[in-house]
Amino acid sequence: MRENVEILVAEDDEGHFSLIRKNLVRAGIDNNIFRFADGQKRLDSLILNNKDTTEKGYLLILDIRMPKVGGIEVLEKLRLNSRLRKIPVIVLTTTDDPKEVAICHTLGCSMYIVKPVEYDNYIDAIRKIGQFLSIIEIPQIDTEQ
Amino acid sequence: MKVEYKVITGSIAFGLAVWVIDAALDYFIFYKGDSFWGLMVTDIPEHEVHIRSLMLVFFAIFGILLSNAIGKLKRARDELKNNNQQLVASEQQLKAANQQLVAGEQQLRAANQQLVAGEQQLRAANQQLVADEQQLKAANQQLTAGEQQLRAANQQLVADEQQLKAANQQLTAGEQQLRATNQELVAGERKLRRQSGFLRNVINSIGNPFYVIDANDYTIIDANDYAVKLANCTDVGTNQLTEKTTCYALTHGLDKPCDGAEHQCPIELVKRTKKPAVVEHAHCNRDSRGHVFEYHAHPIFDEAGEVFQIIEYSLDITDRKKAEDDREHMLKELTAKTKELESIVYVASHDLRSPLVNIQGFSRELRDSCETVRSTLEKEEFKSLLDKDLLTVLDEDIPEAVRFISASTRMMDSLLSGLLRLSRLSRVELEIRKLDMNALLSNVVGSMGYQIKNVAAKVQVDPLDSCLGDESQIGQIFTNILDNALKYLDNSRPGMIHVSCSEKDDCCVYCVEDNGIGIDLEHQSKIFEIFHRLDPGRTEGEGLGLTTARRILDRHDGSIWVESEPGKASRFFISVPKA
Repeated sequence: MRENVEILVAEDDEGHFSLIRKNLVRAGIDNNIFRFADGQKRLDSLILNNKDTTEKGYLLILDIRMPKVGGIEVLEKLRLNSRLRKIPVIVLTTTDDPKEVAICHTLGCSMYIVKPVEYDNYIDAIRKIGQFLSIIEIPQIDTEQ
Repeated sequence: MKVEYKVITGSIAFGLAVWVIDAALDYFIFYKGDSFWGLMVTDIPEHEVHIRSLMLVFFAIFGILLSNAIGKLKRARDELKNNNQQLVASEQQLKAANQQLVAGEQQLRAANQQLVAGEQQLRAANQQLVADEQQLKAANQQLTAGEQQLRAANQQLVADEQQLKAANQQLTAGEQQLRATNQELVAGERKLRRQSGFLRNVINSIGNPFYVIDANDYTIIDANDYAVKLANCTDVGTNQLTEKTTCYALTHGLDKPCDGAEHQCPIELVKRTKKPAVVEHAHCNRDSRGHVFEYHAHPIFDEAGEVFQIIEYSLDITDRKKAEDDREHMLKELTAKTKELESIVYVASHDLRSPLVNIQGFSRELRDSCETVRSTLEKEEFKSLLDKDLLTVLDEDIPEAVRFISASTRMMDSLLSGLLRLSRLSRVELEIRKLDMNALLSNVVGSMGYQIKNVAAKVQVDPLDSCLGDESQIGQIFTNILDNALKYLDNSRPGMIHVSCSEKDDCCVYCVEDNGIGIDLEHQSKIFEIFHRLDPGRTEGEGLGLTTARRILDRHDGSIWVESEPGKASRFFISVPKA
């Protein structure tokens, strides 16, 4: 996995973020990991602040249930934005409602993982993300557009 | 002179002429010096006198022959003439004879005409005779017909007499019938009076106003006691019931019939539609309470099929109206609450899982950290710090706390999952169709093969009738009930589960019977409650199986109930509308 890829975690729960980060690090991921507390902030920073994205690739880990702008809305807006549509998105959420899973896949999420309460399973899930990161090619965002 | 002589003379003259002419010719041609005369009697030029003599002889003979011929011709002509005269005479004789013949023929014709006329007269006479004969025949027929008429008239008279006799009998019978009818009428009148009195009693016994109203002028023709009483205690109205009181004056105090959507006139409606009608009116009674009345109007038709009277009664539906409004209000509220509750359950079960992830995650982190502390303290430099109390904390207290936290979290998660499933169950759209229950049960039992083998139970499924339902949800019910049956078998005897079917009130009633531990009577009503588990220690589960079954059956217009003999058997009955 390339060094200049940043992992963005849209997660309103600080505890969840902490557990995600711990386990990503334990799985050997040493890229920069940033957290955004809600979807609005996430979107604003991605869409408005495009100066420092020249050399970077992004991977987004997205929670569905968030205040202000929910995960599905973030996905929709990303897919409508020609500059950001290629960002791989992993949905990591408590919701296992088949309807929402289907919507996320329709909107083109790369992976959908239900947050298991059972911690061992949770660790497994995060490791899956680690594996995913190591095999995919993350496109750079083209700032010319 | 005769012609014959003329011819001889002529011929000789012609011979002499030729002599002269020849001599003249000879004179002019040959002998110019000689005299003519000389030439005529000489033999100059050569033999001329001889030739001329010969020719004279020749002509004289010719004349004789010709004269002879002419004489013959003359005689023949005269003979012809004679013959002709004779012929003419004969012809005249013939003509005379002919005329005689013609006259004879005419006489014959006349005689013939007379004969024809005679024959015609004879024929006419004959026709006259024939006609006379026909007239005679006709007269004879008329006589015969007259006789027949007379006979028929006689028969008619005989028949008339018989009819008269029959009519007389009928009259006698009619008289008897009239007498009987009269008796019936008298009895009928008595009955009618009784019935009329009964009807009056019935009408008066009605605890609601009852009117008979004239459809034309809206006057009240008849009313029961209650209507009269009501007229006296209503705020509005005339308070008096006379022959001229109209319905609108009595019940509304109006001077014209009711109208408009608020107070539609039932009489007008019935007259227009010719059918019974029901309308609602708001009245105000002396108790100052607003009352709602339901007016029932029924048409009475005249012979022409027109509505001429109307039966009308009213019911005070104030309480019913209020109850209906209340019910509608409550129904709305209930629907809203149910929706709200469902959304609360849905949202809560998601949002409540979120902290559980942290609790579980961090308690595990805590346990790992604790192990790190423990292993660090075991190093030489810290070993002195490890006293008995610290060891108890590190080895027992903290792991125990973490274990309980984890177990509770797991339990909580399981409950939340159950709640979520239940709430989802109500939101899923049902796909109702005819279900082949034999195939469905075969699938369900097949999918539980491992469990069934595990407890060494025997499952027997009878032929089952089809029902109407959602395949996956009905399948879920049987899975849950069979699962329960397998869980609560009695270990002291071989497990037996029997699925059967019966029919009741348009429903298929399926029965799942087991020979398990049974359910105490006091617990039987509780087993369908959410999260209720009779024996939590004995088996795994969330206590949602029967709640789910009941919820599914509620949505299918079905039902579920249980019969059980503790220690012997349980029978779960599932009723689903039949196909």
